[in-house]
Amino acid sequence: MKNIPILFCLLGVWLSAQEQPDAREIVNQMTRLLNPASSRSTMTQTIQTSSGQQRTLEFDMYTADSGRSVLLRYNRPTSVKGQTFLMLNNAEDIWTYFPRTRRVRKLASSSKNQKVQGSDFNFSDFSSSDMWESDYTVHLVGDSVIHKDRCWKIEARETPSNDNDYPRIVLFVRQTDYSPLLMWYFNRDGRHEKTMTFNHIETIDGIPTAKAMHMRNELEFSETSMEVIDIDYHWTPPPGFFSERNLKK
Amino acid sequence: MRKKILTHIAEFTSQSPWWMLGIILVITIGFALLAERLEFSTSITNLMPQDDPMVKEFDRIMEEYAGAASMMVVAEGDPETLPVFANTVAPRIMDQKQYVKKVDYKLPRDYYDHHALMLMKSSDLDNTGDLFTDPNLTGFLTHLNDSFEKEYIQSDEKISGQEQEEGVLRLLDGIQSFTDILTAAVDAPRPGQGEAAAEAVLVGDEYYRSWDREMLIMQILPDFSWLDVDKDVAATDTIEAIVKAAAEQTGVQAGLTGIIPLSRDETMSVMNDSWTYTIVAILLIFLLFILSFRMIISPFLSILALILGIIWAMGLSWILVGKLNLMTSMMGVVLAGLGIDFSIHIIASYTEMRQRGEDVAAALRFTLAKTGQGIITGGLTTAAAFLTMVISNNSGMKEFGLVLGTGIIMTMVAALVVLPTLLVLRERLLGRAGRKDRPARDVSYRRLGQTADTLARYWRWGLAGSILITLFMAWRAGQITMDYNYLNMEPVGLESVKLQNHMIDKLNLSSDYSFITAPTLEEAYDLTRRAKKMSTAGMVRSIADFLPPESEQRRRSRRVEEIRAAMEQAQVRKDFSAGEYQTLVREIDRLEMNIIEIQDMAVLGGQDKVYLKTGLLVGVVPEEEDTTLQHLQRELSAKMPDITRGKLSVLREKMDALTPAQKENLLSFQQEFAPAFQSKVLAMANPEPLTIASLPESIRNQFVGKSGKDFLITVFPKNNVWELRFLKHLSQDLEQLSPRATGMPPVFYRLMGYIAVDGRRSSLLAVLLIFLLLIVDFGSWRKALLALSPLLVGMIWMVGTMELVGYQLTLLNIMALPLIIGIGIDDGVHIVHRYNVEGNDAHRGVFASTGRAILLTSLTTMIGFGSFRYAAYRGMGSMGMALFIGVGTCFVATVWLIPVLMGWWQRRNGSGAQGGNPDQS
Repeated sequence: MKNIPILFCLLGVWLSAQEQPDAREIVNQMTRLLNPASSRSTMTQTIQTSSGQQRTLEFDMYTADSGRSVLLRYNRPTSVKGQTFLMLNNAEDIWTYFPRTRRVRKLASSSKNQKVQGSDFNFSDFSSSDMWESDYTVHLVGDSVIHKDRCWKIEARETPSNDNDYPRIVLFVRQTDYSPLLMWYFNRDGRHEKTMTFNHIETIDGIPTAKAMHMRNELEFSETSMEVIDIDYHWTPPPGFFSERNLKK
Repeated sequence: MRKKILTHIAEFTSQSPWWMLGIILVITIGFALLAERLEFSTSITNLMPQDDPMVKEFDRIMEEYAGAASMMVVAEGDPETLPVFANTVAPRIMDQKQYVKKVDYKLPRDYYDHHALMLMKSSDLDNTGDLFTDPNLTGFLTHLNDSFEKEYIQSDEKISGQEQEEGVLRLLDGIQSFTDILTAAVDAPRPGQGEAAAEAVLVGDEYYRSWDREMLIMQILPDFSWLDVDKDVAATDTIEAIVKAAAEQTGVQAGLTGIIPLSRDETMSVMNDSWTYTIVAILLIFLLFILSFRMIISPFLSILALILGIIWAMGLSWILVGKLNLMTSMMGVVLAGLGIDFSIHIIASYTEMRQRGEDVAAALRFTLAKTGQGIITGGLTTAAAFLTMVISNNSGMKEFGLVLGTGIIMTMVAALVVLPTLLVLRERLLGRAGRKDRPARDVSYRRLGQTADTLARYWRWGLAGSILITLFMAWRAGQITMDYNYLNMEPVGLESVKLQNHMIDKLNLSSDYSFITAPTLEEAYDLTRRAKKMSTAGMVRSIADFLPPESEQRRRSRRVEEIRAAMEQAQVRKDFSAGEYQTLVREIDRLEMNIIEIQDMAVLGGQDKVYLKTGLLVGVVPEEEDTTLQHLQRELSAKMPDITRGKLSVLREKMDALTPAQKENLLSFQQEFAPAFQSKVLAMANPEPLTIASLPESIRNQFVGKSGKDFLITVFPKNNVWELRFLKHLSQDLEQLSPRATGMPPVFYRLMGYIAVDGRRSSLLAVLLIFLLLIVDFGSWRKALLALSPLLVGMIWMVGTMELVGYQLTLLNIMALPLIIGIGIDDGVHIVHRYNVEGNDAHRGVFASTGRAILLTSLTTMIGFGSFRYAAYRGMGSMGMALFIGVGTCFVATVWLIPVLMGWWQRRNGSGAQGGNPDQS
């Protein structure tokens, strides 16, 4: 009789362990959340210039095919109003349009993993990515609390055949809704190079949406912030919207 | 034993003061002669352990390579005048053979003229090689546009790295010159324009200049090590005079920066400072003395005793260390602040005894026998705290501990020997003069005594209050932030610092670079390649820039041969067809568009210098919203009449409406440009293999060791190395790159590591040693703990107060923490000693008398350190203010905590406020 409470406790622990989803499932849920079918948003991005000043850029971002197609058009500052980037096939193909010269240029395919001008984000950060599925094995390493939210702590390690900039990434995913709250990127030297945080998460059209994202380069002390001013998940792209021809329109 | 010696000194002094004075004078003359030999050095490596491999490697590089240490001339002015200044001043500086090995201010033109294409990367040759295959104006512009579109637009990150950004700026600068010449040639043709244009696009500016060409830098390679401070000062003074004279003659602004002028400026500033604040501190202490003791002669005698003590200490320092370093240079003022304390205790006790009616001999006996014991304990604990630093690895702290520890003992001995002698002589002289000494007035601080008594009586409240305050202060102390920028420690307004910052701002170039040596050429290539990948490296310079690896040379050689063959076969056109005029117009239009696109990318990427440079060429879109761009546009508007139209825009408009005469001019230009371009490219397209032997001497001296078997790689940091977080990453990167990495930044970082480790070790040892000394002195661990408690609490209050008043921790004021251990212990020691003499319930008497003495000693020490506040060298100021606060909080903690704890112990022994002894509890 004395052992009954202990047995109940053990049963509880076992049941709760059974309820814990596996790391792959958590990461897949998170990827789905980050890549809705289509969206239209207005965002700001703050970069640091080579003179050490903060410059805020505003752009409209359109996504479709669960983030595989992305169009990014700058509204501010005046100097680059209308400059547009089109990323297709998970940013494998990138074009840019310059309104002052009315010319479209295709960027080198290697640009995908390069920084978007002046920021600490890569082009691939803007598009949907199957990298979690194809490039990394993931493991649940424990629980953690970030800003009072209980999170799964997941470690993603590069699969042997890959050559990513970050062979190790640690993710903290909120247990209540699969929103990522924090990501640590470790470079090939094993050093913590970048930290990405997702803040001000609001549920918009039923989708938890981080209205502020912050990328900090821990080695270069540069920081880039992005804020969502407005987002619409019901937007449907008109035919031919994500095409090179549409860039000039 | 101690009491016996002190009593003997008192008796001998009161009986034979003239003899004593004679002995003192002989000793002082001896030490003064030794003190005169003391030298002074501000070198940072002098603070490091001299057997540290990083320091050894640094010193070796200084000896081996011409380009290791530097002095930079930074000139600003009209772009046309700056080369005149450079060519005027360079030979004059070179004449200073005793200091200067070489002045480097131009590209090694001859080498570039004959090997430029072999120095281009294979990938660049593939992408842009066509640029060198057609010498005609239309062909050149077409290829230029093609290469622009391949190189900088199709690959997005091409302008984002610093090295790439510099490359783009250099290319744009060549286009700017080309545009200027072509625009002038269209309207007013002159001979030489075609050749100048060809040179502009193929070689570019041969001087090291900023994007707007309004800043020019020249590197002076000295013939001495910057560790030789005397030469730093002499060479900087001499060269600065030459530079200023040439600047005035040519109408530009110019000055010196780099490690050597900075070392001179710091040396002069610290030396000037240390004299100024030593004198100010002594005057203020003298004034305080007069006000508190209401007498003039005795304070004067105290100061005299103190000065003799400092002379003794300096003489001993010469025997022990030979020269003062950056840290020990402030020994004079530290000893003035601390050494005067001994005199205050002696004067306080002596005047008190005289006031009680004791004669001179009895008053002196009591003073030395009773107060002297406290003085010795206080002096020895302070000295012990400093002397624990002798275990340090870094020479700076080791010498600091040794010099200050022994210095404290010397000033203490001087106070115990010199001051009583002077007091006796004064009394004798007054007696002989037939004047009757006025009875000393009661100068005890009764209010302080009353306060202590009240605190002892209401010890519960006092204890609760002190715990609450300590908890609050500990919380605030935890909030204190660190100022990581070492340049904030430098004096304000130093020209060398200002020019350095200006240089970083305009050229993205810091003079504080790091070095790695490689024993083989292959390793030099490998290290260069890996260094370029470092996220903390802005630019890497090595032999690889001038001597590519053989395999790479073979690849390049093939391409260079192709280019050469193409150029040899190219026809120089003597005439332009109508179609060619149209092609020319179209290509200039296309060039403008390419540059506009580079500008747009630069706006998004934040590459401000590229934005400005492209602005000069193609103008900018007037910015309505973004303040950073508006600021840049204001900078542009000072350089161009209409910021929406650049030089290339003007040329394009001109080309759109060419008159027949202008077409003729253009043809003349083509006829001169094309052959010049062709012959220059043919000279540059030299596929001959490059070897160490073919390198010009200037390059060899810079990158190849004297033995010829060792190669230097220079890493220019991306950011300001005086920002300590960046410095940490840079140093870690360099350490990972090679164990031989050295240079000012990693040496400085390692020094900080030594200071941190040594500081922690010596602080712990100091507390332990002081505690043991106090146990031996008081014969009781409880009393030892009682004397120690105000120090421990005072240190928490100190950091908490610093945070409350808005101070940050700095590299220098963090050293105040171990220092305060030695300084702050004195108050508790003297009070507990006095309790031993007066009885454990004599709160009122102890604090009215010894409380007054420790108040005065604290105030004098605070004045000593507080005077640092006005030091031009702000690092000293930050440390002085930390110690100012620390001494104050230790005093307050002593006055508050000791009566409270004594009251508590009395209560625990059930003796109320009238008895009890901590030892019995």
